[in-house]
Order: sequence, then structure tokens, then C-alpha cells
Amino acid sequence: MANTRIVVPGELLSSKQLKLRGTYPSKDGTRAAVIGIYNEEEEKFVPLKGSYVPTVGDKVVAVVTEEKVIGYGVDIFTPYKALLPSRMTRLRLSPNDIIESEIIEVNEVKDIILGRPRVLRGGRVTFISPTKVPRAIGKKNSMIQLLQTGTGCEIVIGKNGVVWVRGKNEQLAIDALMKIEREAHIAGLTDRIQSWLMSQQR
Amino acid sequence: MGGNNGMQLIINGKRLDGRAVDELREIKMFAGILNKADGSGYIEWGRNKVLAAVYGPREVVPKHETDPYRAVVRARYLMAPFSTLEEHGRGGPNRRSIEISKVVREVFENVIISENYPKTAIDIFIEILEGHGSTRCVGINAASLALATAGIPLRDIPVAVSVGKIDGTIAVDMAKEEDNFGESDVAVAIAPNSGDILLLQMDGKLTREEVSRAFDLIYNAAKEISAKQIAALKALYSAQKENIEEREEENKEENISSFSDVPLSSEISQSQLQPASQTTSEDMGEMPNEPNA
Repeated sequence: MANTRIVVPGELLSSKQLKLRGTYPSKDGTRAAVIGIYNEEEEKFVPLKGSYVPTVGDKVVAVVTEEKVIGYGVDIFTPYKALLPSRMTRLRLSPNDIIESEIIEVNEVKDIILGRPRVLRGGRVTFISPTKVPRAIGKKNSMIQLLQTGTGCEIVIGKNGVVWVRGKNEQLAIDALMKIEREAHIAGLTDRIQSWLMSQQR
Repeated sequence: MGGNNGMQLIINGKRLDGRAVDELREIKMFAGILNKADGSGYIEWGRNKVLAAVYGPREVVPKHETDPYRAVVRARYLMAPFSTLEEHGRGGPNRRSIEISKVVREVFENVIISENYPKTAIDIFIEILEGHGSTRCVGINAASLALATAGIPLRDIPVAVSVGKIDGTIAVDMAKEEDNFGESDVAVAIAPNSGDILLLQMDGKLTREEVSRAFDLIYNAAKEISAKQIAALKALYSAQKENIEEREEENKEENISSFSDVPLSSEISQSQLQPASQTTSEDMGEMPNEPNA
């Protein structure tokens, strides 16, 4: 992990004007806006904190809150409410159903339209920080596959940081996710989780 | 500003608490100590004890306060009923705390990149648990830590410090007696990277020369405070990192591949709260690291 450093808001990252999430352009270059890890060589910035910003194409795990004439009101755990229109689905949903869905549309005032829902029955729901979602999924799904084979659970991780777990060892999977959240910023995460899962199964 | 009232505030070049005129009180800062808040900060600054928490971005209630273009920032500064010797009534906001809440809000409105979160609210709560002069400045510093740990995009981490005139001399970081019996008291908040002034409130009178001397002291003190804030924020992550590295080495020696006893971030910050009683923490051998070393 050479050439990476933890940066705090307002810290100068580069004298160049870079377009990176979690940064802002200033007169003298680019500065960090949130706590994160900056890689000087590759000019990459990874935020360590921050809330989820709904983006088109993201898969989210959400809870149906109400049934409306035009569709379903859905809580995607952001400050903004989402709508799943009836035309997007043939499913009959009811409040408190947990669904996995894709964000189809986000407009300027953050009205969110969802589509392609899949009902997740049974199981448990847990929350991780949205900034840690890429680490929980891993490169080419390596981490989530490790978790699924290691715990024998079905796991769905939403980009909004909501995770749905179903299987025989749900608590182990949730503990592993919490461990990922705590240690996501430290190198060698997948190996560490693998050995941890092995030790837990003994 | 009671005037001098015959109280001598500088004796042999030293102030009442033994400080030089350009010296700050002892400062300890901790970030991320509350579990349920999105971000939090706690500062012990001399005899001040201040806790700040940040929630958000979240839905705006009541809804008519919503701004469709940016997040609304709301701040509440409150002194606990037990925070000073004077009466603070039944708690809750009063004339003084409503005014301070307003100026604190304006400090943070200028540094939060609120356009990223339209139609939301960011709530800042500053609780003065124990007050001993310059509480609004300490409160702003604590709230800065809380905002940074909450992951709210900031252009800069605001730093606040007070200056004043005691016994005809300009001095930085006013304690309670100096505030009450000195000739002038100025609370200033600045953005350390750009040098912008975010808050400037003056009580009493100062000449032009005295103001420029005061600002020299402020910018010097701000560097020191800013470094402490950054150290407290980085300690959140380095503490965990060192802890895991240490345990990895231990485990290599003992040939065990279990890390299940790595403490939660909350537990780490709890143990970080112990440097006041360093002997005990050393005895326990559980000190992750000293954030303000």
C-alpha cells in the first residue's frame, strides 16, 4: 500500500484538476471533501465516510412502505423517497416486503424511480456503510463469493449499504460483514476474512 | 466585560492559569465517539468539556423548510444546566444560545458543500457539558470533527479560537475570568486552508493595531488547533490499523488465525478516552494510540 495516505477534508490532493468522487476543485487544484484514502500514483481517491447518493443503474435493497394508486412507495434508506411504478412490475407487493431493485431514473430534485424488482423472502437485513460496499463485493465479486461459500448463505448487497442475508449461518455472515466494515481500509482484506471464516468454522 | 474591577489578570508576564499570552490551554480531541450519531466529536479544552454530534443528510422535518437546491444546515448550541456555576434555568434554548446557534450555523453553511444533497437537512448539536470561557469556539471545533467523521463533504475543517485584551495586552484563548474581567473578547472562526474568516464577534473595544496583533495570534493558534483536529480524525483509522497489525504479528507467533477479538471502533474510541488516566491504560496494555501526541 505504498503511495497511499489518509486525507481529511480540505487537504490538497493534486495541483491538477481531477474529477473524483468525494473531492472538489479549488483554485490551486483538487482538494478532498471527505475523509478518504488517496493514491498519489494512480490519482485515485476512496472515500472512507459518506452517505449514499442514488445513481441510475445501482442495485439497491429496499423496503416497501406503502401501496399507492400508481405503484409502491419504497424506502431505499436515503433522505429521498423512491417510487416503484406498477408498470415496472407484475409483482403484487405489500408493505414491509423486502425487495432488490434497480434505480431506473433520478432527476434533479432526486425523485427516484425504481424498476426490475425481486422479492427477497425470509432472511435477515443488516446495514453497512455505503462507502464499504465495493469492498464487501470485492474485485470481480471475490469477497461476496467467499462469504457465500464460507457461510452457506445467500447474500444480496445493495449499493445503498443494505445487505440481505438468508441461509443456515446468517449470524456468521453478518459478523463477517461487520468485520469487513471495520477493516475495509487495511490491505489484505480478502485473505484476512478467509482465514477468519476458516477459524470460525472449526 | 465587567471592566477590570481591580482584578489583576497578568502577573509577572503569566496569566492566571500560568499561560503566556500566546499560549492555548491544554486540548484533547476525540472523533467518532458516539455510536448512533452519523458523526461526533468531543473536546476537552482546559476546563471546557464539549460534545458535538451530527446527523444527516436526512429528511427535512418540517417539510416546508426544504430547499430544493441544497441541504439545509441546522445547528443547536446548548449549555447543560450543570455546565457552569451560574444558573442556566431549565435547560433548553435561551436568548444567548439562540444567537450562538445562529452564528454557528452560518460558520458551517459556508464550508459544507450542501449542493450535493438537495432536499435534505444536516443537523449539528453542540452540548456544553462544562463551560469555562470560549465555549462557542470549542463548540465549533467539536462540531467540525463531528461533520468530518459523518462524511459530510466539507471545503475545509473550520477552526475557532478566541482572543482578547487583558490588562492592556492582547492574549489568545480567553478563559472565563479573562472573559469576565478583561477589556475585550473576540471570537473568531477561520477556514485554515483558505484563511477565510467564518465568524467574527467582538465584545469591548480594540484599536486597529490591536486587531492586527490579535489576528496574528489567531492564525498561529489556528495552525496548532487544526493539526490537533487532523490528528484526531486520522487516529480513527490508524488506531484500528495498528491494532490489527499488532494482532496479526501476535497471531503469527502463536500460529492462530483468529482475529475475532479485534475491538469495535466504538470500543477503540472508548479506550481512547482514557489518556486522562494514563497509568491505568498502560497497566491494561490496551492503549491503541495517543491521538494528540
